Amino acid sequence: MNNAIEVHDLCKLYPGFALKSISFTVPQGQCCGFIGRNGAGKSTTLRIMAGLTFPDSGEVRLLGKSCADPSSREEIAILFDQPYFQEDWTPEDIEKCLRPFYPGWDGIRYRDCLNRFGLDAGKKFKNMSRGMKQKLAMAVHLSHPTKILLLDEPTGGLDPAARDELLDIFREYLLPEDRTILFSTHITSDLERIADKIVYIHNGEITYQGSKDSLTSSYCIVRGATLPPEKREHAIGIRQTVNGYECLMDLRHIGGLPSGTVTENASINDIIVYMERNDKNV
Amino acid sequence: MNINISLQSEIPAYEQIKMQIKAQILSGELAPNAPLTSMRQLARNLRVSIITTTRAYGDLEAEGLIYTLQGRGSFVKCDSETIRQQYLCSIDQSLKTAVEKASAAGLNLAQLQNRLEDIYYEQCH
Repeated sequence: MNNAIEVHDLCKLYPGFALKSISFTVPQGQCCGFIGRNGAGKSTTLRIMAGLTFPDSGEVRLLGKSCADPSSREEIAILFDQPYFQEDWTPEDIEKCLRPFYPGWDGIRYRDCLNRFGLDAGKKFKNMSRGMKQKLAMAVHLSHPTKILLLDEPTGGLDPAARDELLDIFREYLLPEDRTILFSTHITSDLERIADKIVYIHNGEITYQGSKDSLTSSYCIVRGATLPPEKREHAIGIRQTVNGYECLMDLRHIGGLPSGTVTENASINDIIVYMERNDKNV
Repeated sequence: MNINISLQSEIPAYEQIKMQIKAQILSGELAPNAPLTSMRQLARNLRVSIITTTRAYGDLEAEGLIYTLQGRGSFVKCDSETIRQQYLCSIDQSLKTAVEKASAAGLNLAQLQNRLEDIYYEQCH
């Protein structure tokens, strides 16, 4: 399978923060979740991909072309936090303005998206809710041919119903086989039902990259009275109280725990919480 | 092609999709050469990742039950009889195991039949 996104040894130094030579790939046609805490390096990586920031060293290739090459951008759709449109523009004005820049612009599809997403073509951008603004940006992205959608915290600040609507629109974007999404978020529950792959970035380094299912099926949550000392080194992010302990553990190490110990499946969210807590403990 | 999956089930989502497509081929609801919903569309409709539906279809294809034409979609390959035969084979396998265990536990045929009847009525009624 071809990789739509290839990141090679990317470095970027800021005062107090560094991307430390990160590398990862996203196969074409997949949806990849990009997770990590605020300040872990997600936005910096995405900004480099979008050509908004230059790396100190390393390279990003999008659809085989370096992201520093402006011709690569025609096939890249971007939704970072919020779209930038003139405050006084309506969806109609936005179409007039964007159409000349996009050779493959499909006005019929744009109208159809506005209708389906419940957006009024005559309403000014500044009078729209956050959810409407995000849906408007997606109406634009669905109306011209792109191959990669870069998302940076697109669901932040949205209520659950608006988030669900937006996630469904991302699924619609993915219908053609050659489309790929890189989806950065700290709301990991968004990824549970859409991501094929997960890249986990921690303090400017990639801690995990692989399929979502193998991430969630390699760990479990363990709760019990006292943790046997020989298991201590395998306990991730342990939380100890007078009533017992709770930790994350690699499934390979759960054999031999005393009876009465409870184990349950870990979600992506659990895995991050325990791993970050572990980091603080050390 | 009606598919309902439970996300709380112990059975993985791809397995549930496989089982339901098989059941529909067996019942004749899906005839040979009938088109299946595309993998990406099905992933969207069921709200599962694309890998999940790709795996279900991949397994069904490997078992010779469906075929995929590049750019055209996936279609039912076999008829209900093929799946019925597969089910019969797997029933025979399970019964063989049951007989082996029965003889190890010292059950005679009548006792084994009784147990089978109990389980049968429990499950089917």
